[in-house]
Amino acid sequence: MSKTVEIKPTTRHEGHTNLVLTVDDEGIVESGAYHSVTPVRGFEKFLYGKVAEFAPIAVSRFCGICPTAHSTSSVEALERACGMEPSKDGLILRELTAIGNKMHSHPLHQFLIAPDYVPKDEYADVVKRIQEMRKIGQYFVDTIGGEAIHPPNIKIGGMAKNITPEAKEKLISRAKNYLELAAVQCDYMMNLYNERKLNDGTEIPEKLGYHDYPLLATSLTYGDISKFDYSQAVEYSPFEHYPKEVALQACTNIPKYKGSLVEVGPRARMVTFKDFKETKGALGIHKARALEMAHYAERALDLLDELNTSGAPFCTDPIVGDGETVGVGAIEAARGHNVHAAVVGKDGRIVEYSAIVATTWNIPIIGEATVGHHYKFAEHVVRAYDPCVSCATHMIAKDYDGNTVDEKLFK
Amino acid sequence: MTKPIGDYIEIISARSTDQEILKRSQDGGIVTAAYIYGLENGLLDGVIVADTTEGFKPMPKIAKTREDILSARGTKYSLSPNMSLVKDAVKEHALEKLGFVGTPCQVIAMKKMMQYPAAFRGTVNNIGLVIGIFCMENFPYNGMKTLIEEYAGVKMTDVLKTDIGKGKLFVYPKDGSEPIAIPIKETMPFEQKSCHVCMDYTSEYADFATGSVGSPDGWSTVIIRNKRGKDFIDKMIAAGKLETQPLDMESKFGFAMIEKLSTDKKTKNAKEIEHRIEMGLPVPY
Ligand SMILES: Cc1cc2nc3c(=O)[nH]c(=O)nc-3n(C[C@H](O)[C@H](O)[C@H](O)COP(=O)(O)OP(=O)(O)OC[C@H]3O[C@@H](n4cnc5c(N)ncnc54)[C@H](O)[C@@H]3O)c2cc1C
Ligand code: SF4
Ligand SMILES: [Fe+2]
Repeated sequence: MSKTVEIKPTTRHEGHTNLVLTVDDEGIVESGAYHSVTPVRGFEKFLYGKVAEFAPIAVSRFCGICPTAHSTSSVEALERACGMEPSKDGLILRELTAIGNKMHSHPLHQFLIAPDYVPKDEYADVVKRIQEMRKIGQYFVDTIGGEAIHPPNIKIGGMAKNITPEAKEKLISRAKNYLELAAVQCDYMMNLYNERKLNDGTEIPEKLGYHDYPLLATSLTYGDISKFDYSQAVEYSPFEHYPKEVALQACTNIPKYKGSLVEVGPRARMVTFKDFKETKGALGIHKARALEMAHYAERALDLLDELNTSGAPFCTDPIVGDGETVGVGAIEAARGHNVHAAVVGKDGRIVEYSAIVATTWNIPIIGEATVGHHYKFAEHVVRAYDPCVSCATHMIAKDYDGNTVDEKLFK
Repeated sequence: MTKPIGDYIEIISARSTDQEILKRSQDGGIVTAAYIYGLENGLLDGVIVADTTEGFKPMPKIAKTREDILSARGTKYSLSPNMSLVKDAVKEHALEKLGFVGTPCQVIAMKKMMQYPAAFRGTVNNIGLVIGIFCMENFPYNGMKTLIEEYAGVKMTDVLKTDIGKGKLFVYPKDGSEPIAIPIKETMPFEQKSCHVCMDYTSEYADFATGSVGSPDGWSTVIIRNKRGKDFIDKMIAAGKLETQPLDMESKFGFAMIEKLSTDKKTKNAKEIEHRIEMGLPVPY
């Protein structure tokens, strides 16, 4: 006799989600549904008719952890919709800001899972190191982006401001410091993961979190639109994916790429660009995330070296579209492939806007990846994906009577 | 109106010992000397000054060298929005110990920002020193331009320096000729309207405040208001950057004059505030 186990809310990640599992007599998960219950805010709708410059400022507010990723995907989409060529140094500054965001976000996630893995007597030291790393990441976003949270300098055409040579020197020295910290932190976390044990001694099943879906990433550190075909991305209604009772609560669409669910994020990037071997399992994602941190700092150093602090930070082409061209921006957020698409009219106003956010891709996979193991491990699968759910929540599905309001959203 | 010149620890007369500073400073060169000392001794890593552009128009600037600080010596009797650069200084200039100078209203803005750092998170930790200057009133640029060009007959591009003292506005031309004096009662109609509801004469919220009133010509009055201000001035004195003398507490031109002018300003402006409230007009308090 199978019974239902509901974990609600799931904890130690951003946003509000529930996990609905059917389990057998031994408690082994037979089917799993993971879904957002974070209220939909309707960004895409209220952007319609607004001037294009407003979009990166607005979408930054999807989330307080990944604002950089959204502003960045947004400006890339809008620039393509307007046929603009952003300035060279603007792009360097923008990538540096995006990297800073990940340099802070990855350690933050290790803080969230520390109570699962890190022995109590080592906890304080680990958290201290994590905070030092986050501080450096945020310093990048703050200095270049103009604010650590919701950086206002990310703008269509490049960045609003360049930095001074003194600021560049400070960033270089902090990136080097980050490299040292990341080496220690990465080693430390890798040892814990390799033991395959929680800090209370519980052994983690070897195949925890295994699934057979493909991985999708366009770049190791930033984003490469040439590796993504937007026409192959289709969003489905949650009713086509979840059991009806779950779908009624779910607040995200279900996106598929080339007809399949896809996993995005650290593992997808490390497998695609660094020959990382652990293509499956929850611990593999943790490991990929730990390894990525150093790559960010290395890339940041290269970019700083390339940056001309007296170069123009943005191009001054007019911000107008043709009312038809769909511009797509695909940036690797900390949690993965983050897509924004926009159409801009001849009057410079937004005609269409849509976002398929990193965690949105992962949400349907997370539930399925809990199958085959005891439900007590299910939350560890969830956390491995570092879900950022307010980001992921995009849909206006039903009216108060449960009727679909906007059919075309789903087809 | 309990305290005419606000809280303070100590009040002195002082003057820079650097002849180059004094050559073109407004008064005792306190602001310029403090900035340069701070920069050369690691107490500050950059400062905001009111420099000028074409036509003696004030323009705030982030200065990181002795030359840039020297170039901004002297008072500009028009608004220089010094606060507008604070965030840039801390963000893309990555300054960690920023020096700031401003009129009392700007110092109030700075202190408000430090108390309630909405949209200035991170910025407030990087303010190294807040210097206030005394201020009776200020002028919109176009008002000052009219005064100087129409009354004094000097083109704005030919102005070297302006000074208000002894009931007159003096305009010093670049060619070195004698300054032209405009009586204050002629300048009054050109004052900024906001200055007529301003209740602070001596930068009551600065780390230290400075002005000419109360001290002999070429010297400045320095009102040291808090520990940070005191430590800074003490270090400058110990390093021989300032010479000091006790403030004149006896005659009516010393301490008494500062108190009198401050009280006059507050009394007059309190009336204007009342008047504006009666008329249903907005006031900033
Ligand atoms: C509008 C105004 C009204 C004033 N009224 C009085 C008064 O009634 N009584 C009195 O005793 N003193 C007054 N002062 C102050 C006085 O004129 C001198 O500025 C002060 O004594 C400092 O002189 P110093 O030799 O130490 O400064 P300096 O070494 O010459 O340096 C002056 C510094 O002030 C800054 N500065 C100049 N103009 C402005 C401005 N408009 N806004 C912000 N910063 C500026 C410059 O960047 C420079 O760094 C006034 C100043 C201003 C700007
Ligand atoms: S009088 Fe007051 S409001 Fe006017 S400039 Fe001076 S401090 Fe500011
Ligand atoms: Fe997020």
